Amino acid sequence: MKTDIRRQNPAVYFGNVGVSKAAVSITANADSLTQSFTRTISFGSRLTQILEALLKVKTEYSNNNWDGYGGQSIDEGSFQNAMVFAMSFPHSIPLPDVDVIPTGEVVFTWSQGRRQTFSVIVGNMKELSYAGLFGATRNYGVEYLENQMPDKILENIKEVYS
Amino acid sequence: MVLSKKVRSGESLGRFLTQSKHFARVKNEVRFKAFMPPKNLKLSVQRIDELTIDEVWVLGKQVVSEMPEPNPLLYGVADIKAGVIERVNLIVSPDKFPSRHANINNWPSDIAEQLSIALELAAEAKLILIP
Repeated sequence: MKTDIRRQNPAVYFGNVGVSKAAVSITANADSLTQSFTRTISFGSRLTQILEALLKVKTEYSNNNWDGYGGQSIDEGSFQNAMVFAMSFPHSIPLPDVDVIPTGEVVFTWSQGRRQTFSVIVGNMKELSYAGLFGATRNYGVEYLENQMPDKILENIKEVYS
Repeated sequence: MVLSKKVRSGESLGRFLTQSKHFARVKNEVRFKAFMPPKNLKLSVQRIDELTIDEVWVLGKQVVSEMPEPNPLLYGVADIKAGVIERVNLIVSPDKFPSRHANINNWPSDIAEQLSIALELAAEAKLILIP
């Protein structure tokens, strides 16, 4: 049986769209469980690391022209979406490098060398623009932020470490 | 030396590195970020062919000093052949002589495709750090 490794991240709650009293109660309990879990030592530490990295770049890129070439300050929408995206990282993948590109969007990079690398730029409209370089092969595309990491992005991250 | 009007494929172009995150010192690599275009899609480079490395640093310091305040630090240069730029369907548009400045133009509007190209350019560029 294949295991969906996204399910290894219990911080990802697969949304409840119900509006009944019971549904609201389930949602509240799920939120509470998620919060408890993210406070555990192993998982919490990992989540803390990535969120701290995000907060660090937010400070570092708070002003325009940070590179002398007119680099734009961090885009607030991209930052917020990047926080949500980071919460969807399965426990089984290494934590990425976090940075900001000249247009102000947050970028996550998983790399094992200059031709074994994959990056995702998080847009302020929840778009995840990605590109990978694997040997001589380049690929790129766009996915959208969901409750779980999109398959295409997960496959590419796994390719970096294959 | 008089620069040709058209940039030759074998010519070296230098992208001055003004941020520590433009490169990975231990891995001796240029990072893709150094080649991500700004909003106006004009990536600024200098024609550094036939310059000695000391002359490259003189040029780099001049370029950085002319950047808007606060002037960034100069860490090094990413040296890339014009032929690599052409291979990914970008165009090198040089300023008029005696300027060594050129812009890399013709970037796609799709940010994922820009990223893909920047990854390729970074993989092909040679990292030279200032001593």
